[in-house]
Amino acid sequence: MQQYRISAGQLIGMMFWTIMGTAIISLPVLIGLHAPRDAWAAAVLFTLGGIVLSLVVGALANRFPREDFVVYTQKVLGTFMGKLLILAFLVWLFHSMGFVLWQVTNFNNHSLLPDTPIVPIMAILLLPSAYAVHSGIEGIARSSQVVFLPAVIILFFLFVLLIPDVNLENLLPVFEDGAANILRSSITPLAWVGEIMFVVFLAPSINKISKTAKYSVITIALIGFGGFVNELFYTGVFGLLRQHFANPFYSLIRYIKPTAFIERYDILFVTINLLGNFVKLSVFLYIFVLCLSQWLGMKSHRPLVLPSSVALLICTQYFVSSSNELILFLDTVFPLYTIPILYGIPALVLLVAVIRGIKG
Amino acid sequence: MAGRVLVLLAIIPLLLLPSGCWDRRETEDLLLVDSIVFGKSNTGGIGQYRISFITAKPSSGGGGQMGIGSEGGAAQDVTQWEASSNGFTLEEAIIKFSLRSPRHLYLAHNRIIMFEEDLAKEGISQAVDFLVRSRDIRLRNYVLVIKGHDPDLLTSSPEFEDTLAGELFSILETSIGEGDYYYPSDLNIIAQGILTNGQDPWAPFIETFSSAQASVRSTNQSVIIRGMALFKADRLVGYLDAEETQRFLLLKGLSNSGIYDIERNGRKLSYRYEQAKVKRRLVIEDGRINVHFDIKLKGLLEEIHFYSDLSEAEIDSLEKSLSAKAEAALLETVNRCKELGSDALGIGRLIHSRKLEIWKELSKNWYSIYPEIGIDIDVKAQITGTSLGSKPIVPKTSE
Repeated sequence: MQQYRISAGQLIGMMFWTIMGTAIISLPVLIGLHAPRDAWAAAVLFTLGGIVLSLVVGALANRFPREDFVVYTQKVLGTFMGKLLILAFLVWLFHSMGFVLWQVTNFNNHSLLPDTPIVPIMAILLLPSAYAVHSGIEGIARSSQVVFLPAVIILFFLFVLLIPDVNLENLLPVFEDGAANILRSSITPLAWVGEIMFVVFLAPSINKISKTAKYSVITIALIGFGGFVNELFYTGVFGLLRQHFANPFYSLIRYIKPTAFIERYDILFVTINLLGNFVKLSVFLYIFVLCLSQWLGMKSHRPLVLPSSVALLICTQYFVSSSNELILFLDTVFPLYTIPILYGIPALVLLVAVIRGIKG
Repeated sequence: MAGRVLVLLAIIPLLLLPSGCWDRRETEDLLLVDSIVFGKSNTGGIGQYRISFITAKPSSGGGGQMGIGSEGGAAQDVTQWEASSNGFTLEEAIIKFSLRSPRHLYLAHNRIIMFEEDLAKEGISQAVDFLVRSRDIRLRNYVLVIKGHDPDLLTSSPEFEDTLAGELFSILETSIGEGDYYYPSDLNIIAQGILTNGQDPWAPFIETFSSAQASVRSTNQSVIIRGMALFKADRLVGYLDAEETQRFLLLKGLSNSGIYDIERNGRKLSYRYEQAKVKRRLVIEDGRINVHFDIKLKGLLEEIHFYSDLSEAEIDSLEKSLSAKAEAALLETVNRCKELGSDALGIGRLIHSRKLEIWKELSKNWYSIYPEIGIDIDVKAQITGTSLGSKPIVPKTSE
């Protein structure tokens, strides 16, 4: 059977929501902690980091076309070192997947279903993703394509409705927060956009593999623009109050002035959030089981989907105990090991491959 | 085939679960709160809060089971219900209320938040913090201050709507552009005012007014929005009347219409502006910072009780008189804000946003510096025409 090839639109749709899915929940809080007035500047900085990583990812895809990252990492770095680094990535991925699941669950639990225990919510959120992953990359790619455009149009529509409430004076004075705080605020987002390196796992399935870098840069540019607009609106509408929200985006949507034809817009955000995070969880889980199956030398990822999902469901209960704890962790510890893993591993593989002159 | 059946079996529970069995609430089990009032306990408990809820009257009599008294409910002849609860913390007051209520307290449809004067004078930051972090409350909720101590205000009958909150909400929604004697302030504006240096909160205030003026339908006293309450940080410091509020809103750039009256030879003339442009700038002279307001008004002569040919020279003279009158009135309002010690006009924030270095110095002691800040107002009132279609009726001379 011929392997399914991902189109440009599908890849952009997948990676956009893989990064933005939980970024719109947690990143505004983290950025606002350090630079509430100049939060938009953080978007510019993390975009630059993401573009650099996209170029590295593109270079790897061009160097090793139609080869799996797990396989050529071992070829370039040696079996032991390659397996060790992939194992480190797998541990990171499983742990981060727990954060993703917890954040989406917590949002639904806190905002919509306060009396529902989190385990059923987690299971409901995880089950469609597990099914999509079991079906393979085609199911994920096609559903990402379906989700991407309507979700972006809805977001645009919501922002248009908020324009009358934006007070640009709230952004002044520009750079008041100081260079150190702006840089500090962009560290966690920089780690977050590092997820664009997942493209190295998807690259063998991309139909025009030589354009991997271009697609990745487009994705990062869209995310950067989205982040920039988001941050402008948070500060423009809420000023310093943005620092006091558990979920600024949800607060923003709830602040839209009711109109004659729609009174409540919350449901639109909930819809986007669920759809976007379905894509995010699916991509995370797919990369995890694909990578693990290749690491273990298995022929198919499918036998790993159910055990991985169940393990994730159980482990997530222990990964995070509260929202404040997670925010503190994401702000302080998460970037310390995420940046070396997401930026360091592809960069190291590319560097050694170039030095040793290894090509696919 | 077996695979498809399994998938189907997996989808069925998915369809059932999202409806939220644990969070299922029937509409008739909800107590739909229209308005929340925060005040100090009147039972003598020191440091106690009193929270009152004005709700749409439950249709099936659930509200009737509440007790009567200081923590009781008061049924009214219309469709609203008011009930209160006391507590040392806001959470305690709400929980105590929930224990008495046969229905789930539902705040997501709340539209108006009111602070009683006693509590507002002590500070509203705790209540605002509680509201901002509340899951159900929206930041779009309008905020009002209740002037004076009038225990009957909450049981006042609305004049034109079914509930007091509904009436106040509609008035605030339609107030913009109708003379701009008040302007809605919501939870977001109030919370930002509490947090932001150089920008104090403001909110419209309400009080009761005599039944002689009230509509026939109203059986007792009615409630009216009288002007603006000003805060210093989170504490209420005073009020602006309707005229002062109009000028306050003009200075903030929130007003586009208003009226100035002048007299010519003992006869009145009324000018209504319908366009206002306000520019605020900082002028530094000899190390002293001045705030300059450039205001351009465009409007019509609405009422003239004397005959005039309205020649160019006459118009010019009237414009000068109107500009001078507006300048004096606006300066009076600025001085009133300074007198109260409230920087609701956002003078400090203006300096902060334009001259950060100067603000860093001033912010250390802003409230003592603020009354000394020089404020200049330059108004250019332009008469674009007259709304009079014909010559005014001027009485013949009687000896």
